[in-house]
Amino acid sequence: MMRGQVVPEEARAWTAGLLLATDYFANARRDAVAKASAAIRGRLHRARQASSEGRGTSR
Amino acid sequence: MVTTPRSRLRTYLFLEAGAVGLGYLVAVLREGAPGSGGAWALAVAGGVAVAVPLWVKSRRELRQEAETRSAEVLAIEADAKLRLVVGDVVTPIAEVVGRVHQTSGKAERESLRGQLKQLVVEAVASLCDGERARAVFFELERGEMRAAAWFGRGDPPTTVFTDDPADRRGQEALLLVRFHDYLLIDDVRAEELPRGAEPRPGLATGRSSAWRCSAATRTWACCRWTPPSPTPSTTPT
Repeated sequence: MMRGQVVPEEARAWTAGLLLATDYFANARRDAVAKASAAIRGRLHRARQASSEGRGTSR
Repeated sequence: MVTTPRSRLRTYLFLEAGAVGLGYLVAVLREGAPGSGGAWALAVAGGVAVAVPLWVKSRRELRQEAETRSAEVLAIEADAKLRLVVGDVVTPIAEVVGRVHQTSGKAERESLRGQLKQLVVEAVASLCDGERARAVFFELERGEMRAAAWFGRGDPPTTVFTDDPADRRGQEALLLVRFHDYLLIDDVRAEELPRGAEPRPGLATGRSSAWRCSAATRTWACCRWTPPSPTPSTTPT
């Protein structure tokens, strides 16, 4: 099960004018790159594992 | 910026080259060092014959790895951009749009509309990947467009676009709005500028630190035409 906020606290603070856009976007960009990096590398890792298992079983 | 972890491919290639070189040396020296010039030439030719395929193979593997890494970096950048736009920009702005429509008080609605315009220019300037990007939201009212929200500049924009025959750039800007066109100029120094558009003074000589890229489009906000003009090089102020 997963549950979370659709609009995170930082985004709420930005839309309410409590957080500077420069700070908000710097953090958001950093988080997005970190999440994207983990997601893409995880996918590549799983794809490599699947392909090496496929090679192992095809022998 | 996306960084990739160091690969061990080069280490493996060095180890492989070392092992092959050592094996070749042992094979050559097993029956004693070459005694004549011809024997030395033969040994050197054998060494070259062993080294060439190793060199070709290592080049091919390094190139393949570089291509894989650049594809990985591109995939990460595309994924990060999508997360940023959808999760960190569109979703919070959509929530404010919803609040504008849900709120009943006129004053509060006007306040939220103003907030919305500011959020849009902040998002536009922050997402366009340029250095020192500026964005201005021009609002059309009674045939004139005035800056209603801006980001990336200290002073308020003073440009007013009008339909006055003497205001050529104003007329062109209003035409963009009327026909729902967008205008994108990648480089105001390199491209031929459309009618009404003019770079800031000093830009042609390269002495100005002003912008080089410009984009403008029209958008709807709360049932009125309000064109935002991110990095408006068409509007020297």
